[in-house]
Amino acid sequence: MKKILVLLLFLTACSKIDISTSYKGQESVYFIYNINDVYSGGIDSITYTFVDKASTVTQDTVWLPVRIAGNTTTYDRAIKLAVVANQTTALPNTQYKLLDYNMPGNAFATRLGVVLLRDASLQDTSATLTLGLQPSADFPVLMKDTLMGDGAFYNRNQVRIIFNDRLIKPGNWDTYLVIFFGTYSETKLRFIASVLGVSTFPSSGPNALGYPTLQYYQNTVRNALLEYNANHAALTDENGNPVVIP
Amino acid sequence: MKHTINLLLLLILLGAGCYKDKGNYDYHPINDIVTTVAKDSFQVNQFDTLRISPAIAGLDTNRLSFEWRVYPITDPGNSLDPGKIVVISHDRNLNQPITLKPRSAYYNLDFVVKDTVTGVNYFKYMFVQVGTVFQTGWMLLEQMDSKADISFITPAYAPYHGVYSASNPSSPLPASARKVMSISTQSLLGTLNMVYFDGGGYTLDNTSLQVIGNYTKLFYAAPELVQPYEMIKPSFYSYGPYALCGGKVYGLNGLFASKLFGTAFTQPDSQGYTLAPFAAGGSSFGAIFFDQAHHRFLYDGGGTSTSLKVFPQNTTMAYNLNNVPLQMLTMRAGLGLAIAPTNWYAVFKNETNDSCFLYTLNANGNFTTSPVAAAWQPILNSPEVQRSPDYLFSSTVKQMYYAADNKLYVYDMAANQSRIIYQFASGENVTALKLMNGVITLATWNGQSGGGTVYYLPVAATGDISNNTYTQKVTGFEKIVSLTYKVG
Repeated sequence: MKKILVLLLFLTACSKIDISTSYKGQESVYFIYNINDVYSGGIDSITYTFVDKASTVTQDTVWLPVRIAGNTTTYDRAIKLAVVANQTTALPNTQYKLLDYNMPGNAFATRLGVVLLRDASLQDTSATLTLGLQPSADFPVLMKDTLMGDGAFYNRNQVRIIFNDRLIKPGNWDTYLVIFFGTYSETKLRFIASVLGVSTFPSSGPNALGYPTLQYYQNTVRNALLEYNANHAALTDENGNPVVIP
Repeated sequence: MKHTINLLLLLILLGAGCYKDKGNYDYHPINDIVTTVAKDSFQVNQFDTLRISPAIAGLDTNRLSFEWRVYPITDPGNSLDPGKIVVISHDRNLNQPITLKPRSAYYNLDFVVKDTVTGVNYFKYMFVQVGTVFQTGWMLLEQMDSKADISFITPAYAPYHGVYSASNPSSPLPASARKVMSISTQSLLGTLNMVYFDGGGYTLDNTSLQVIGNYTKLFYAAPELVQPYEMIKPSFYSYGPYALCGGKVYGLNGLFASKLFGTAFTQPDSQGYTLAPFAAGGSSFGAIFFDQAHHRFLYDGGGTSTSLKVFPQNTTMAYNLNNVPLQMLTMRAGLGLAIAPTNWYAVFKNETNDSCFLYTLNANGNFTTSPVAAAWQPILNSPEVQRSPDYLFSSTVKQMYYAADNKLYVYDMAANQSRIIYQFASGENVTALKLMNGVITLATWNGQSGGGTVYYLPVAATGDISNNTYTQKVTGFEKIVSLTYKVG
């Protein structure tokens, strides 16, 4: 009996198994999170501000990277993206616009553009726009929870965009930045940010800016202000005072 | 039956053990190669030829191939580069100009002998230290038809031709190259060696003249118009140095340990400015510039200012600093202490004819007792003064040197006239000149390839050339358009 069993074991080892060369599971699409965003509101969140954009910028597009599980196809496949109403404060067509979304044929990944509109209301408050992927004919399955780099589980079906146009007076303005930029005004900071592309100027910590860098910033903004004033009405702040860089 | 099979197998195995081995077990001596050199470490200056002739012993030394390997050769632009091995010769005896970058550490130098029959490599390990003669001496910028180059003269008057092209075979210098310079920035940048050409420039390594980077890398952001002409720290009291580029001035705040030049200085008023590529400076005004577009002098606001200022209107000084309707040809330090000369001289040319004028500025002065606008005069009795490739000023007497064609002149400011103090052969024209430590170093060119010569002309107390002759003469250059003394 034992000999028969051993013989059977050997025989089973000789059986041929066909290994499929293609994916047999169900198709799905999911967001690619940026681990760096864990420092700016959560790994599933993107923060955006219009503050450091030129005043002529009235809208901008945030790109959400997505990838598919499963095979590519030769044709475009629709991706269904919807607002998660109970987690959203942003106003459609006033503060944002969604577009039509597709996974292009023969592609494993693409980016979904969300148009953010520079509405005046964003100067007073931040808006939150939460978007979720929905099951569709092309991508019927949603991803399950995944352990991500910040130690938490995410289903990778949802992403949050927090955006504003709101200025915050740097805490070191009156003690340090005043040397380079003079008296604070929101108009001045907005102009500075639009020229330099930055609106914070740390004077301590690992990202502290040295004196020469701030001097370079000062000189750059001063030249830009002169050019602006030469081509427009002189820039005046919210208090009615002319904007001046010393 | 089972036992019979086992016995049969055993017999087969035993039978195989009786097979006679017909292999070749004769011993032959191998072609063991031994190389011997008199010493195993060498010192050589860059671009000098290293010669090593090893003795080679072995049974058959006619079937060998050779490699001279040097390592590590690192990428100067990558501080983390571990380096690579470079074969500098395949000859049996090394007889090779060494172009390796000079450095204090030794390079490994391996002589690899390969037996081409057996494929066995034999190594002789040696070391080579590459020094430089380019730490101190004259850098000469030579213009040719389709390119430019930099040659070098050591303090011992030994010429090294084509140093730039040898060090930078993949970065040829454009024919538009116009200035070579070496400046101690008195900042974290240390000494900067640079060459400027139309639309750009390079910074050069201090020991090899290898290109370190593009001129624009010296700035936080590239200047709006990249046309470098000058870099100068005109005063101990200013925070420069200043880079004069494309008609604008850019400052490096050495006091606060900046390593980068900032944005163009802010214009003094709505007129804007376009600076001539010169600067003066002193204890009162750290830097004075000339706005060629609006024919006025401007000054750096001082301290950590990054704005230019207009001089206040003043009618009591020798001339109006805000109205000099002439074309600036030069502005250089003259009479006074080197650290803060009381006299800076600016030579101007009339924009519609060849008449020239000498303006004196006192950057240590004020607007009353020691006026900034100290003096001016037309330059009289000075032939072709407007055509000089450069203008040199004595720090001890009120004299200016200039050249035109094959003649070197001294201009006596008090007498307001010039005289020839040296004359070269006809057709051998002066192309560049500098005054340093009482010696005029002067380049001439006779129009022929290799017809460039550098002369050393010591200046006597009278302003004439001592003994009316040169002390040294170095020949064999192309047309030298700029020269500068480089101090490591």
